[in-house]
Amino acid sequence: MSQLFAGNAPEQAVQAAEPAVTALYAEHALGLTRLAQIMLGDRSAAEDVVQDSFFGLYRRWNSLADPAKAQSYLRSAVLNGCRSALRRASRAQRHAHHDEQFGDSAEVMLLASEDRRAVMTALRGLPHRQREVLVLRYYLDLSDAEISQVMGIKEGSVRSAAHRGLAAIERTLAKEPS
Amino acid sequence: MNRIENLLRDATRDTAARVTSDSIPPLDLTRAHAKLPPPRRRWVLPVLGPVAAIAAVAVIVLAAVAQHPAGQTPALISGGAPPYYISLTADGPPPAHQPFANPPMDITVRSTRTSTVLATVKPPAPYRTFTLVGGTADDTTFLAGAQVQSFMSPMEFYLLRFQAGTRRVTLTPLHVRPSLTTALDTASLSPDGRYLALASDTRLTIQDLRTGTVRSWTSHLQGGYITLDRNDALELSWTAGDRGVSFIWTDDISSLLLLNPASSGDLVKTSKLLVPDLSFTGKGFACSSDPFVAAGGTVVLCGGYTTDKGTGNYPTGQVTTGFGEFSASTGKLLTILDPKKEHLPTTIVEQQFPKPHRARVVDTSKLPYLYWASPDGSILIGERDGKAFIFDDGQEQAIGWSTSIATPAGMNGAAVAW
Repeated sequence: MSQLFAGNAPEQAVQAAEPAVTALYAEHALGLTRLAQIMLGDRSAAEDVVQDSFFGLYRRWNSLADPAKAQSYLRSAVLNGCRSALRRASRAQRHAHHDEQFGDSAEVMLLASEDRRAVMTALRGLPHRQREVLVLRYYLDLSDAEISQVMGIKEGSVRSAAHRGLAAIERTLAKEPS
Repeated sequence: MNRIENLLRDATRDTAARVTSDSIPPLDLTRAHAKLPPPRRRWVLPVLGPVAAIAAVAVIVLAAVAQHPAGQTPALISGGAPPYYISLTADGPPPAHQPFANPPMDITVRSTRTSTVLATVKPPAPYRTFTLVGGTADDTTFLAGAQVQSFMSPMEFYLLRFQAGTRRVTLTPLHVRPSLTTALDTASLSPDGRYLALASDTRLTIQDLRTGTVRSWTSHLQGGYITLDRNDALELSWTAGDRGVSFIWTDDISSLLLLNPASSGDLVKTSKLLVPDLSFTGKGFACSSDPFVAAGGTVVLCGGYTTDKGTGNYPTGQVTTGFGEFSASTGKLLTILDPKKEHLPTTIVEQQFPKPHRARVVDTSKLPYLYWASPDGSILIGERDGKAFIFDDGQEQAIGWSTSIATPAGMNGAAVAW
């Protein structure tokens, strides 16, 4: 058995990736930030997740066999970053004191319809898995098979999470004051 | 497509449209430069083909010395803290035909105190990637799972043994090849090495490595699932004497349960409820990290801070941070290990659920997090105020490695194990 122990790319080679990664950022940062914004509902956190994903690509650039796959890598990295950010947010949620009411946020104010505002509120209240399935399915239009591969769960679990998520949103909307 | 689906499609697109190209900040790669690891040598090992052909008993894999030649292994941690840990480390891009999948993973054996890479191990053929790591009761023995590709391809389990003096790593196949219908989240070897517990979505399986007997439990209660956190190192925990396996079940809330391997029936219904609500709200101490079961299943440990007694509200003024030790039977706080009095910063954030409001939240980046606990709960490895440490014999000792336990994209379980 031959064993090759791959080291990290030399720093100089990684630095040479700067123009390529910067060009990718110019092309894809908007779409990825939009995805992260939907997942997180927090613009600053969304931008951090996207920047961190590009840092990861930059550091790993020299080991990319096919730079054409960079876009797929970035989307996967952003989704993973969102999961981590949501986890940190749920920790913070545990330690939150909720009695300071205020008006709609800027984003909520800008949403065109009350229904859409309520849907986004309900979506962000879902467990992480259900939220991710619904965003991948209804925003990115991924098939259940693709979602299954992205999330590492079986297709039946994708369908189950989507069904439960949709039902939960419907229940939440039904409770909304008209 | 029904109304809810249409609303979701419209609302997500509407939200996305609010992010405009002129508001995207420039990419600041100077931050990435600051995080670059130092260059490492490449090593090519001798061809061991003939040995692999007779590898029914053990596959020997020589380890690469990354930064320190053999014989200069960093000094061991004083006391009983484990001196080494293993970590999944990305090696190259995802497979071309599976752009969403993980890149191939090697395992690196590292010094707990310095994070120095002591050995790097590639998966034995025909496997192409390691996808799972776990600890055992022995400081130099670990559990490793290898697959041809991540996700649902066949998995083989190995015992990974590290010899510090020679930097040699031995992989011994356990001949456990679970039939995966969903991604495997984690595996845990019992302290006596006889039982292997596997967790996957809603299913928990225990295999007797001596007899080959396999038992499985599953539950579909309330849409819940076994919860494994990719940021913390919490995995399945065996209680002393292999009397049970604890796991977290999440539906509306997260609870800690203990499965008796002798039981049968629904996974959740048949398990003992150790901690009904892991938020511990209102009990005078709030957990900021997921819990560990210790002391033979009698106590639960977690990092956190004191709350206003009786209210469970966020702390005002000075609080005590540390590691709460709770009775597993009553949920009551027994003591706070490594206590420190300090003021926790709080910030006001806008939250959207259950309805738009402002909330005052604790800056959780300052809080203590627990990554590993010894079986008796006396030795801890964790993070506090962004710095990693070992708590042993009543003393907190700083250790020099990044506290961000990075988990590769798509992984379900933790990427490190002690």
